[in-house]
Amino acid sequence: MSRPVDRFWQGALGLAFIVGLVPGLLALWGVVTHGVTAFGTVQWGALLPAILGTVLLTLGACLMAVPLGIGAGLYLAEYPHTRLARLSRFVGDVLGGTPSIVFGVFVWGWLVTATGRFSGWAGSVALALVMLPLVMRVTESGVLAVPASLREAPLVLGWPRWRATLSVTLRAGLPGLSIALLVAIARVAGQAAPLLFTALGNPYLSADLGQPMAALPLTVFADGSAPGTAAQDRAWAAALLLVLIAALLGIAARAVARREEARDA
Amino acid sequence: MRECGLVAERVSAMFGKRSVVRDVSLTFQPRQLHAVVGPPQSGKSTFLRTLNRMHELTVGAWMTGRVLLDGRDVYDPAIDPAALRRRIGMVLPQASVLPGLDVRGNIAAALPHGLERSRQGTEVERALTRAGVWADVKDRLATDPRQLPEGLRQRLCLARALAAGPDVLLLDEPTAAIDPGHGFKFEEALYALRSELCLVLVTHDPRQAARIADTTTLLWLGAVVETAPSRLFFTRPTGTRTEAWLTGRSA
Amino acid sequence: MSGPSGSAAEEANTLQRTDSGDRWYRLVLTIAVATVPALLLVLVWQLWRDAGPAIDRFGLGFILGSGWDPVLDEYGAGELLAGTFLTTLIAIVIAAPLAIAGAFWQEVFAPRILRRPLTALVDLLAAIPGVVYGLWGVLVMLPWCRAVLFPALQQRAGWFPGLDGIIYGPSLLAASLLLAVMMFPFVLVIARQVIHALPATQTDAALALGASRWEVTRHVLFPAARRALAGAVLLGAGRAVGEAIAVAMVIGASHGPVVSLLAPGYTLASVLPHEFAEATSAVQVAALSYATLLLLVIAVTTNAAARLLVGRGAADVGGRR
Repeated sequence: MSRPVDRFWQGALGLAFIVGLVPGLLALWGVVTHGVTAFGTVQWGALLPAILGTVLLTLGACLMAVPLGIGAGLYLAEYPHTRLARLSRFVGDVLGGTPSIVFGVFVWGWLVTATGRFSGWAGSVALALVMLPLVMRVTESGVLAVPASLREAPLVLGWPRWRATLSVTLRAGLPGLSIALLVAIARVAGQAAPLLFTALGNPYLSADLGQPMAALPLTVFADGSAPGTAAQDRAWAAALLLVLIAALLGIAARAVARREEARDA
Repeated sequence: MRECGLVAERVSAMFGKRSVVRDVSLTFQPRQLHAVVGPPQSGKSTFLRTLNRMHELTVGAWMTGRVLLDGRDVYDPAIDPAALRRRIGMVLPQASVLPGLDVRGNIAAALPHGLERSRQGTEVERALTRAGVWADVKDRLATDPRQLPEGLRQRLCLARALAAGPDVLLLDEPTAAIDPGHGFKFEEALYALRSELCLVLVTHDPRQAARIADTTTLLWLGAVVETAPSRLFFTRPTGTRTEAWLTGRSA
Repeated sequence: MSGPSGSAAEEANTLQRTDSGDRWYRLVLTIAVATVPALLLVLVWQLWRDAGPAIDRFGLGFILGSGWDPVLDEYGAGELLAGTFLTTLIAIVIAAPLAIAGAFWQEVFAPRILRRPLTALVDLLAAIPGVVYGLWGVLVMLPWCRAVLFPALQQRAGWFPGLDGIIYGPSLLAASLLLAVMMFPFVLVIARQVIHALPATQTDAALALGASRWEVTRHVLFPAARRALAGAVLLGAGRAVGEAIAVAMVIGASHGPVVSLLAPGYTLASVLPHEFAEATSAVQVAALSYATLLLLVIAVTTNAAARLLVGRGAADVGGRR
């Protein structure tokens, strides 16, 4: 690139990029440095409930959202022109654009007041609502991305539709689906808003989803505003853990993507 | 082995309001290779797909007319389309590899469910031999088919289609996307299969039809222009349109 | 190779209709997909029911009504809306141009070896949860704002309406800045996908004619991407409108008319983490549910408009094409 016009704009746009990036980098840097220090001083016992809680709540959300989402996405791909498909696609977009705190308030009114208590189950449901539209959309586009020749190959052999889709199409779309699932899990694990009025948080180590449950994002929120260095240490440590989860899952997703690219080449 | 013929009676195929195949009536005799040729977009593939009820899987697609397999209308509601497609097999234009299966697994996937493992090996070998590809892959049965060249993969697709044990085999431009070397081997296999099956081959290449087909039909804008034994079709075409298409001077 | 016995497959082939399981398949899938509209229905119905007392009492006037007084049980969402509007506007005005410029830089001008690491970095920033940004905001950004940025702003630009008043730290402006920090990677990722998805034919043609990269950007890429980029910005705005946690941590949690950007305040989303758990009266809970409904409508409308502009492809998360 030799033309001066290009050189100027490369500089100008690059500058804009840097200016926008720096605050985010500062935030990342701040979390990493404070978090690493906190790793040394924090009482890990105090964080354990939150770690276990995040794992259980995310697992619960996956158990609900993944089968439903894949089933719904498959319907959208197999029978795309039915009224139900068109309606669900639209509603999926609506739910996907819903702020997660709305889900928290909804599940509170729906499950918490009905059962009379805050619980890990309610929290999982709220998280599942965040995950569901994503899984549905990704399944649909993943199936449609499979080339027609591969989708038809089992059919011309005389396989029934369900076997053709499950054994071949879904299997072929699995890499893309896994990537998206990894990203969705990372997103859901960091959500605080849906849990505030559902799982509520719990200072004690508990695996009982029927009771209030701690979670890393809740720790960050509550302890971040609490006075005292012990609380702030917990908050930074929890925050760094969340960043690490996001980073690791992102790396895993990229690795899967690269392996698929290499295989297709 | 049954002597199975396929008869199309006044078949028309539509996508919504667009008519792509118009009133085609053809008879495909058993133990012969029938070629359907014509310029692009002449409805050849669409017509072929009405024969094994693949056409109806496209949203908005429908057809009129009858298709008779051994005298029985394949569109009879009592008939299971999936079962029909085991009797009328198809090779698609693009080679496809069933994911997660090696070469043997890809062929075996076409065998009927519940076949004892001991017979599976024999059936796989039989299908590969009929497709003329056994010698090329017999030492590589456990490899991932995606590592094989595209032409070889398409010949494996032929073997897979044969493994399902059809009486009629439909082929939709099977050699259009592969190299000539594998293409010729594919044609050799088809030529040999004439003694066992009824084969219907759609191709845009008239020379391929001249090489291996017993009868040739020209489809133009969805309608039959001429159908004749290949010898006559290529040396003494009766229609001016046929001659124009053969010689390249378009109408 | 024809023999009297035929192959195993031919023996098994009959044409009878068997129950091939397709009916069950379709039934299961139908149930799965039907839960989606059902959930939305239940959601709206539940929120409507919870908001009932407030709707009955304040009616539509709630939407623009001012004043939020738990003591007198008088509620109006007008100030909340103003807070949402201001913070989102400022955040987008700051972040969107930078994000779009940055996206073009990444896709067109960035040196090859930098592309992958920079993409990974931006993706990571976009994946950091809001609560983490909120923590950094309250423990690192706020002290700095209170000590350095806000006094400097007041000195240099105190004449600007809204930049006067006592500097507390937690404020609408702080929330706007934090939102901008969060929106930059978010909008950039979408903008980058939009640019990446543009067909290469026009670009290749222009380059073959000797156009410089800037000319291609300005005359080919940007016009083609304009609508979708506007959609990307709207998606960012929708996200900012819905961000409750990060904003709640730095906005200062104070009701009252919006007088100064440097004063603490509230947005529609951030009032919920603070007040919902400690709501004292049934009317307050209803008012908060009413506010939630409002938030839902605004966010969904913004996102719907954005989707119309972007189309469904570019915003897929992790979708491989």
